[in-house]
Amino acid sequence: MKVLIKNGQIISPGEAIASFDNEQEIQEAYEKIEGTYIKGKELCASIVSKASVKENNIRLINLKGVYMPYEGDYIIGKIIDVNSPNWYFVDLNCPYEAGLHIREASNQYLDTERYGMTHYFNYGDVIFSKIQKVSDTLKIDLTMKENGLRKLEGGVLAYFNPSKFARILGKNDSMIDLIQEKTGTKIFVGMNGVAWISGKAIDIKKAKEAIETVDSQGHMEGLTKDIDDMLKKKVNKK
Amino acid sequence: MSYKKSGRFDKRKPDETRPMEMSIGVLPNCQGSSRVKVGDTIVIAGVYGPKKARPKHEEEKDRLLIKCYYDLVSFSVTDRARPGPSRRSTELGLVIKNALERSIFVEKYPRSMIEIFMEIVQADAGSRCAAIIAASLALADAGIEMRGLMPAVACGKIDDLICVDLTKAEEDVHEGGGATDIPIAYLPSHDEITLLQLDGKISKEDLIEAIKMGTVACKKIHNQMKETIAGKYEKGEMKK
Repeated sequence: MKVLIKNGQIISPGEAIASFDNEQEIQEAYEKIEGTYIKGKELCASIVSKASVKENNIRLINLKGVYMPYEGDYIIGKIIDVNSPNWYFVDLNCPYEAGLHIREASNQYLDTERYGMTHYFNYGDVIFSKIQKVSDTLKIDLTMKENGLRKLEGGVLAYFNPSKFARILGKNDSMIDLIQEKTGTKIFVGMNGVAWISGKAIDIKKAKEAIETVDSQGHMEGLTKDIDDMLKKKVNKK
Repeated sequence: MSYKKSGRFDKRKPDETRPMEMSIGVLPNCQGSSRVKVGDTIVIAGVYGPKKARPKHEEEKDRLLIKCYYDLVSFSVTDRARPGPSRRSTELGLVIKNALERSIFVEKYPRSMIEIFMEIVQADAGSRCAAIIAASLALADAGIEMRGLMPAVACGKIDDLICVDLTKAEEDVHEGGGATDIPIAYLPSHDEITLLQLDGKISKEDLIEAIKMGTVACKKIHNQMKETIAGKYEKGEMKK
């Protein structure tokens, strides 16, 4: 393997990242590194990314991206349809609608003829849910049958680029813990680029600004410290 | 009068393009956007999506649906352009879509669609090429998986001089052989020409030479496009 890029370099689509000698190696690298494609014997980037190279170990930090659903992802969705019998339809901030069957909405049996579909969820409700299954044709099934999965009441939604999800959580959740602690809010972060913030209005505004900053500056180093300083200033001003 | 001897109106070399300015992320309300200035031609492009395909009957089960809208702003040309779609803009939208389609991994986003809007704010020839550059940058800014960035340039012939990036004044030359305009879009990462149109008269040998000159110019534009993207992130993106 021959690395063709430098550490910290910004890579635009179509740029070659590394060249390989045999096919197996290139296939392995393609599966490991996100936002790439194979062109002959070279591995090329397909998304604007920042390179992180450490002794032949390449990692691409995708700076932009579209959320594509995967099994087991924890997401925050909004109910957009309760009219179909036994199905809730959920908007996931991606091109595909997800379905939540009433059987997966709760552990208890519900007589829908008597109580109606709106007994659990109604239009516009926000849920913290998990993707149970994604079919080949990208039909998404959700589930609520797990500890911690629930309806999120009150609060405000903040949107960020899904490729920045890891950065918003931080190492061992350090970033999100910091924001929650400094602003006194409660935050849920979905892998689909949606965050739910609850607390006092002024605190929500601060937390939202912090998340927006992480989203736009996510590729810079020493970000946790910057956010710490930023939130300290805001608190002092008050 | 021979243009080979007298040179071009703005004293450019035959293989020299007009000065270009590019920037990305200029519109906060869409997923990706860009502004491209080629000489006096200015284009603003915005990309929405991928989102649910609408109308539903146009949805493709196995690939991404691309919709391109090319539009001249009323004050972009010397005579006021009538607002709204026209025959010309519909055709150019289709031509640009076909060119861009090759650079996008359409099979990765089944059942969805993207919309690309290109507004020509000021037109001075080569607007479709500028629109392709702007659209390609906006797509990269939107985070859609692409084979590569796609530069485009109009090569051509003014009387007897083969050159690239013709201005409006050069396109309007009628002396001698007149002017020939050949817009090309080129995908440098795969060495492919994705758009080739011809307006005028040209011999086979001259056409091949013009296309070669055009691809060289495209490679230069490609470098500038890469620098534009890198430049935005290296300094740290400014907060809106």
